[in-house]
Order: sequence, then C-alpha cells, then structure tokens
Amino acid sequence: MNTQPPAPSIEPVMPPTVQPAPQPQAPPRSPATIIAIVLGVLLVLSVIVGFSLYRQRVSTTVSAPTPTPEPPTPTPTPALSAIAAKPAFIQLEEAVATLSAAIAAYTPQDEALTPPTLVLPLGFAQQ
Amino acid sequence: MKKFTAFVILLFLLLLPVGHIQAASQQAYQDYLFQFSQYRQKYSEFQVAKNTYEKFKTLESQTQALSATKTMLTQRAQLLHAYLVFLSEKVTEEEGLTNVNRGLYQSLIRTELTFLEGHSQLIPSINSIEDATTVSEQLESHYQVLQIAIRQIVAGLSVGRLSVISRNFDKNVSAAQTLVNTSAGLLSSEKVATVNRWFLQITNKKNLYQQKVEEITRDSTGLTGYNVDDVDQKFNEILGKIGEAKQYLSDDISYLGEVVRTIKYLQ
Repeated sequence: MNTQPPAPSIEPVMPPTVQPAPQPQAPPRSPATIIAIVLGVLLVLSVIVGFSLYRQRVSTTVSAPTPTPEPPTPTPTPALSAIAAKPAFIQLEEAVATLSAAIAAYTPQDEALTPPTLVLPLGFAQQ
Repeated sequence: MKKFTAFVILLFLLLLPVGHIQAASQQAYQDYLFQFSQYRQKYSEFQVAKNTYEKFKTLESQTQALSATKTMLTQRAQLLHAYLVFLSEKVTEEEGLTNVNRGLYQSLIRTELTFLEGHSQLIPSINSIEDATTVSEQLESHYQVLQIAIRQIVAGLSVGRLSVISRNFDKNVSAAQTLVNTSAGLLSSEKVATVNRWFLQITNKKNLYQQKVEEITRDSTGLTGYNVDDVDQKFNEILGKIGEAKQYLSDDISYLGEVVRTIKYLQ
C-alpha cells in the first residue's frame, strides 16, 4: 500500500514592498520668506483687480455718452393776416373744425338700424 | 313778468315738436328692443315644445307645440312690425333725405306693415301644425322682398346722414369763396393763386363725391338678389361705396381746412 506523501504546502509569497526613496528634506523656510511670498501674491491679485476695474470704467464711459440736454427753442408763431381777425373768418374756421369732427364720427351703417336676424322655417318633420 | 312767462311758454311750445320727434324715435327703438327680447324667449319656448312633440308624438305635446308655434308666429310678426315702426320714425327724423326719398321710403314701410297685418290676422285661425307651416311659409316667401325694402331704406338713411354734412360743407365753401373775394386786397397774389388751386381741388373732389352718391342711389334702387344672403352681400357692397363717398367728403373738408390755413397767416 502506497501512501502518498503529503503535498508540500505552498507558502504565499508576499511581493516585496518597495520602500519609497527617502526624500531629501527641504530646508525649513524662514518667516521672512513666507511673509515675502504672501505679500507678493497679494500684490499680483491687487494689480489684476485694479486693472479689470479700470477697464470696466473706461468701457462704460465710452459706450454710453450722455448728451447735454439743451433747452427747447420755442417755435416761432407766424404772423396772422388781417383776414384772421374778421368775424367771417373766425366763423369759417369754427365751421371747418365742426365739419371735420362730424365726418370723423360718421359711420356708413347705424348699428341700431341693423334688421333682426330670424330663422323662418318652422322645421317640423313631415307628417 | 307776464311777458316773460308768455315768452317761456311760447319757447316751450316751439321746442315741443323737436323733443317729440326725438322721443318718438327713441321710444320706437326701445319698443323694438323689448319685442326682440320677447321674440327670443318665445322662439326658445317654441323650440322646446316642437322637440318634445317630435320626440313623444302625444296629443298633449302636439297641443302644446301648436300653442307655442302660434305664440312665436305672433311675436315674430310683432317684432318685424316694431322694427318697421322704428325705421319709419328714423325716416321722419332724417334731415338729409329729400322729400321724394322720404315719401318713397314711407310708402315702402306702409306696404310692408300692411303685409304684416294681413299675416298676423291669419295666425289665430291656425288649427294644426300643417296650418302653422302654411302661414309661416307665407312670410318666408315674402321675406326677401321685405329684406330688400329694409336695406334700401337703411342705405338711404346712411346717405341722408352724409348729405347733411355735405350740405354744410357746400355752405362753408361758398362762405370761404366770398371771404377770399371780398378780402382780395389783403392777400398777396401768391396766396390768392394757392387758394384758387385749393378751390379747384375742392370742386374736383366734390364731383367725385357726387358721382359716388349717384352710383349708390342707382345700386340701392335696383337692389335685388337670388336669396337673402345675396341681398345682404349686395347691401354690404353699397355700404362700401358709402364709405368711399365719405372719404371723398373727408378729403374735401381737409382741403377747405387748407384754404383756412392759407389765408390765416401772412407767410
């Protein structure tokens, strides 16, 4: 009776972990350097904001120029003729105004006179 | 004081006929509107009774349908009568009508009123639905003649209203010509020439107006049609021509306005 030797147990092989290369240590910044960097950033930002505001103001001024209002000059009234003072002329002028109003108000058909619309056939079904 | 009282009474008596004429037309119109409202109600009741009768065909529904039909026919005749009376009052009032036309229109109205009275007298003797249909057909066969007469009168009244304006216009053109002639020394020769050109334009336009009115009168007098719709269409064409006549007169009035403006100022 052959006895099988036990299968050799395979040990899991762990991949070798790559150790990060040691970074070179940056030299610590001095407080004066940090302040200088912050001030530099603020300076750049203020220059950008200032420039954009300036452009906006310039463009507004150019696009909408407001004209200076001038006082209206009164229309000169033409001189009246001697006829204009005559009663016959005044009467004629009034009559023309009345005629103009009358013709403007005139309509060809007086709506009140529209005849009634009737359905005449009684419509009883034939007996 | 007595003289003043007598004057007031006299003035009242003089103005009374004018007030009476205005009241007559308005009263007739109010009566026409009332009769129209009554007709709508009676026609609605007639339709309900007719539908009930045709649905059930019972003796009771037949009696009710016959009664509602007679009432509706009576009211229909009264409505047309009221409309013709209103039209007659308008013809009496309209200042722009000539006596010939006024007489002609009143004669047309009298003929139609006589027909309606005869028609109304037949209604009480209706005893069956067949009778009612026969009596109704009497009005139906005459309806086109009635519609033509009505439209002739309505067109005549419209032209009459325009004639009133036209007559006033003519009077004022004459007044303007007199004013220019009597004041020739006050106007420069250029002004006189301009004014004369406006007067020429006024005469030409007035001729066009007059021709249009004659055309309207011809169309209205010879108004006919195959049916009521055809008559209606031709009547609308007449109304369109009255609108054109109005435009000519309107242009003429504006030319007279130019004459007034020309002589009013020095420059």
